[in-house]
Amino acid sequence: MMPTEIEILNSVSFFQDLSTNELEILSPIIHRVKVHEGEILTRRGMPASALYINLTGNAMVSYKEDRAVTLHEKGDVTGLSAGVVPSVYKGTAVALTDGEWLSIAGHDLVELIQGNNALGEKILKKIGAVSRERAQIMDGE
Amino acid sequence: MTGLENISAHNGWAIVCVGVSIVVSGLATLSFAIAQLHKLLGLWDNRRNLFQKFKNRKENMESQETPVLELSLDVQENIRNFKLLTAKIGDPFSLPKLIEYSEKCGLKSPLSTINTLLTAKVIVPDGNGYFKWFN
Repeated sequence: MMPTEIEILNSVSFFQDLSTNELEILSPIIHRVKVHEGEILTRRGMPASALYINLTGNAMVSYKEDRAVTLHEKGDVTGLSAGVVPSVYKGTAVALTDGEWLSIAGHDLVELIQGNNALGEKILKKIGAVSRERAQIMDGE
Repeated sequence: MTGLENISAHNGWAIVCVGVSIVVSGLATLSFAIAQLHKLLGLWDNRRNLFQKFKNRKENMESQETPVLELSLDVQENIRNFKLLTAKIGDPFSLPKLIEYSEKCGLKSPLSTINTLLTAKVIVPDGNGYFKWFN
């Protein structure tokens, strides 16, 4: 898997308020992954090994009580638990169509958060914001 | 009879009034046309710009119109099948459940079909993690 170019990261909403220096730090740990319709990106209860950010795909993430959200936009995120150790996925993400996603391995993400306070905090805030949006659906309340 | 009496006897005054009206109207119309001639000439000189503006406005209006979604026959058939399934699941329904049942029923490409319906807003989220038919 090749590291992702800065230009591509700049075009993704998840990274839009990061500086070029910050993107250069992130670029080596972000990889482009092609997925096919029906492919499972994350499985509920399994160790959270990677965070996924949408480039061109569509996915459904299902949670407890058969609730779900669907992801269609560039910059949509799944695998939010990958930033926390130890952690398991709270949802099962399945690709609704062929597409391309950006993935950040869990251990790389944790290392970044622990090693680079400012950038790590920004990434954690972004993950936290998405988690709060989906909290009601994720927790089934 | 001669003179004015003769004119009166043969409706001369009415004919005079009609004639004067026609002449005055004609002169008024002609003078108005001449007065606006400079505008007509200006429009003629700028006809290319005007045509372009008209064309741009037409294109903008067309792009603002709600696009009519044409669903293929396969997708329409799948909609019918999905609706039969959701009649059993309930409304609002669980999307994972709908996918599971449609796979068990052997429906073709349920995932990408459901994606088509979601992006076309035929199926929409209810805000609580479940989904419903838009109409």
